[in-house]
Amino acid sequence: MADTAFEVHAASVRLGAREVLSSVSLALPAGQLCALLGPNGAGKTTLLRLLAGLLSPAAGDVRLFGEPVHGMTGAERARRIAYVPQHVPAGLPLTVAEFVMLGRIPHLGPFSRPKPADRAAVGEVLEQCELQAMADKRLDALSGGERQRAAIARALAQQAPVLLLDEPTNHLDLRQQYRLQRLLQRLAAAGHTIVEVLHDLTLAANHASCLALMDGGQLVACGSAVSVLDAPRLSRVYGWPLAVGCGEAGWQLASAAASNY
Amino acid sequence: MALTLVRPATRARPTPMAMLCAALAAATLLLPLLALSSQGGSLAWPDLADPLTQALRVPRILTALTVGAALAASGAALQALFRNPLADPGLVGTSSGAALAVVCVLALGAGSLSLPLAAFGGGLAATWLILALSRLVRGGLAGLLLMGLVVGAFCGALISLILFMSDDLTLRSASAWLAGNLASATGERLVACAAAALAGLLLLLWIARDLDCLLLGEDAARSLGVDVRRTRRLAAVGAALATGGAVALSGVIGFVGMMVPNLVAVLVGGCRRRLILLSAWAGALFLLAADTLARTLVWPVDLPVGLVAAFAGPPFFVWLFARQQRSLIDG
Repeated sequence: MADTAFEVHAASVRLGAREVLSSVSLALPAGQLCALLGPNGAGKTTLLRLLAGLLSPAAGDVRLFGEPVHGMTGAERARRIAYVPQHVPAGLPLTVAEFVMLGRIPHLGPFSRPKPADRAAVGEVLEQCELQAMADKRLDALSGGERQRAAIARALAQQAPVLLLDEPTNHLDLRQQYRLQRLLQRLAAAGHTIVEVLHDLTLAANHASCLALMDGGQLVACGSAVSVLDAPRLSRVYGWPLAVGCGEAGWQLASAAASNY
Repeated sequence: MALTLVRPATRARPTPMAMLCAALAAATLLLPLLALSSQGGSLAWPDLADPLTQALRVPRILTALTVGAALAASGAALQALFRNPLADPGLVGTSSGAALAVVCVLALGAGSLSLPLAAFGGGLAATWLILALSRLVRGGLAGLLLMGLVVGAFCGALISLILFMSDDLTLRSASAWLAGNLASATGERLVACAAAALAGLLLLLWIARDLDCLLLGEDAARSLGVDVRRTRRLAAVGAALATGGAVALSGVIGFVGMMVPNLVAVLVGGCRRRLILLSAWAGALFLLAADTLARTLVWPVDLPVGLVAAFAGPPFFVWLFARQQRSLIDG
């Protein structure tokens, strides 16, 4: 058993009167790529935000390497956990390099200028995300895939050991989706703990080493692909007949409903 | 945070940043001279020993520079606070709140030194009210700007009500002041208002990096360790100080705060600190140019500078909006 990064113990989250996460307990391994799965409204994003310390649990607790996430100050959290939201807002007047430099803020004082170490960190993550050639381009001039990579580079520049991503493959074409998952795998291999919310089950099954399946604000299953991806269970959770295959080309998950319903 | 990782070995053309700075530097040297020389509809070499120049021209130039810088800097900060490039102190209620407080003070007949204080208080109250209301209605970003418009309109209605109920003398002085006028500043008021504006500018520069994060969205900002509520409050205080100083000096001058920062953002871009600083510089010169134009265009009539700025505003607004829509469609 690998080291545990996140330990969630009986955590509940309320938004107004609604309980969007009820008594979720799970452990996510360190240094691996984990995927949060489930239908719309299952509570994936809520769980991700809870892990990021952006939400406070109404009950239970969340620990990162044994330390309660909610006991940390904002700056402490920022040095440990980097978070990539679903969208990069449009209309930012920044170049890619300037945008990525925002990730260095947890390491900078309010008036201190970026030091050579900060520039080196930015250069390094730009290279990691294959964005060196675009460093001086305006963010608005990038394609969807490049923007997503820039968002990840911004988070990586934080040099936090944990990286959380909310549906990073949204709006990306097939090739970009695979390239992004490869990048996340490389980062995990380099020691990062990565948790991403994903909708594409096949993509998750073939790239993540740990899957957490959620439904209705509760955890249904958590573990390796083999233990989580059970066809009857998935069909029940998604309310749609699903077929699960695992062969030469890796996992294949698809609708099992007759095409002419 | 001007960061260039890949710098071409041979540079064929100067960067937009260098060109903008050169243009602003040239304007800084020439515009005040032009403003001093253009008197009585003709150009004459300025005579600094002339008491008329000392009493009228110089304070007016300093007023124009202060007001322009303060409005443009608050605009650059408010655009980050509202996460909307159309935000302008005149549009989102900061100026209207300040103006309402000043009109109240004028109606009550208090002294001129209390004007900057009232303007700051009014601007701050209006901006805080907008933030509180938008949290209450949970309207997201659109709700934030909408609440700004609502608060601005409400302050405008209150101003009309007060003017309606006040006597002729107050009405005339308040109306003249509201239209945006740079000629009325005296020495001590100029110093007090400029100090308020400078304090606001410094506060905005101090939190500029957090404003950059705010532009990424609330979650992203918090994940970077930014205290979002504190940043919003401080931005409101800074913008209210700068806008309050400007409003107390010269009344409500619209569009400067929207136009100048957007122009700077399009031309050179960059982090908020750079935008605020360059906007302040460019805004000061823009308003001085507008005022010189207002003074000489239909001499001997002294047009309100707000009028000239307002004429330039709407076409710019349309251009900016069209540009944004285009980038949304293309993106």
